[in-house]
Amino acid sequence: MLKIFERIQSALSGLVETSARQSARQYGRRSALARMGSIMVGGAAFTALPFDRAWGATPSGDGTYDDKSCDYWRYCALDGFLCTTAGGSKSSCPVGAEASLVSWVGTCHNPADDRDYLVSYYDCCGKTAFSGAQFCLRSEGERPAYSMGLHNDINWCMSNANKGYHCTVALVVGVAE
Amino acid sequence: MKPRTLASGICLVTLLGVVLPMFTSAEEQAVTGIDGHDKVIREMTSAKSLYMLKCSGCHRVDGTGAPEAGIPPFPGFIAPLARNQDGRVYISHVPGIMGSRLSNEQLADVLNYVIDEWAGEDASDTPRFTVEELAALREIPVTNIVEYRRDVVNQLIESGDPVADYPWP
Repeated sequence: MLKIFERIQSALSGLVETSARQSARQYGRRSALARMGSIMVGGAAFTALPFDRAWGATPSGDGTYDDKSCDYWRYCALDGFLCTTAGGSKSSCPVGAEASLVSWVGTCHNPADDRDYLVSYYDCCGKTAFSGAQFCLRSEGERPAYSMGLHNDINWCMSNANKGYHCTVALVVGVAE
Repeated sequence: MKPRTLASGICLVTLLGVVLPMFTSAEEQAVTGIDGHDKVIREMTSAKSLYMLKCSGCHRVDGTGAPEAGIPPFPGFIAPLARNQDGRVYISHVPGIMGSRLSNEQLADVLNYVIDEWAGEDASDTPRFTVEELAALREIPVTNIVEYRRDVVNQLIESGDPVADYPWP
């Protein structure tokens, strides 16, 4: 039994010795250093290369293109619950709720094409508010209530038969030109 | 030019390039006190875009308004109102015009857009607003817009013109 182990051991050490000698004959010590060096420098340069990292929904992780985030570019003048988090989408009311007849219109800058768009915020009405929905208050460009026409602190469902407020959608209705 | 002079010259130019815009932009903001949104709106020239931004929220994209909520429709009613001299004063003083913070140029364009779109077959007989006329009309004091409207409505009824429903008749 012991002899078998000894045999295996000597066979293994022979194999390792042969391959080590062979590689020492074939490659110089400098080539190993050069290869390690190039891996280290290349690794550092790889992360700095100008790759397009703007793929996916969140280019910089700030929610500019995430329609479930208050930071979504279209929500710049929004004040209310996001319909995207209440069973609807960014442009349609959830089932069982109807869009308000009147709305609030603001301008929002889209960083993707560097243009300003007209965004209309319609409230979805006739359904009780969903407490799990995301609430956002940005109201950029809004003015205090004494500037009545520029004040957004209003339930836009007031013009509907069903005045209960559910959530708000953001429709692009044109370009600010 | 000695290399050292050249280098200090480049440094000075670079420094000015960095520092000067900081001063001018701060000064600009202090003088005008407008934010990015105001700036975008001030530079808007398309009457349709201005209508969408300032009027469509209540009067709606198709001008039909929400009569049940007190917002009169344009089609069928805007032409007779704009052909009456006191009606033109009224139009120039409605809250949406007075509170819009648009320039007289932009307001004249928006009002003419409303006439173009919704005066229908009366459009050719309906005078448009010039900037000068609008500026003059807005100077006329109107302290009670609802009362003023009543007077205009009575004139229109007398001349047999249609009058839109309104929550404070």
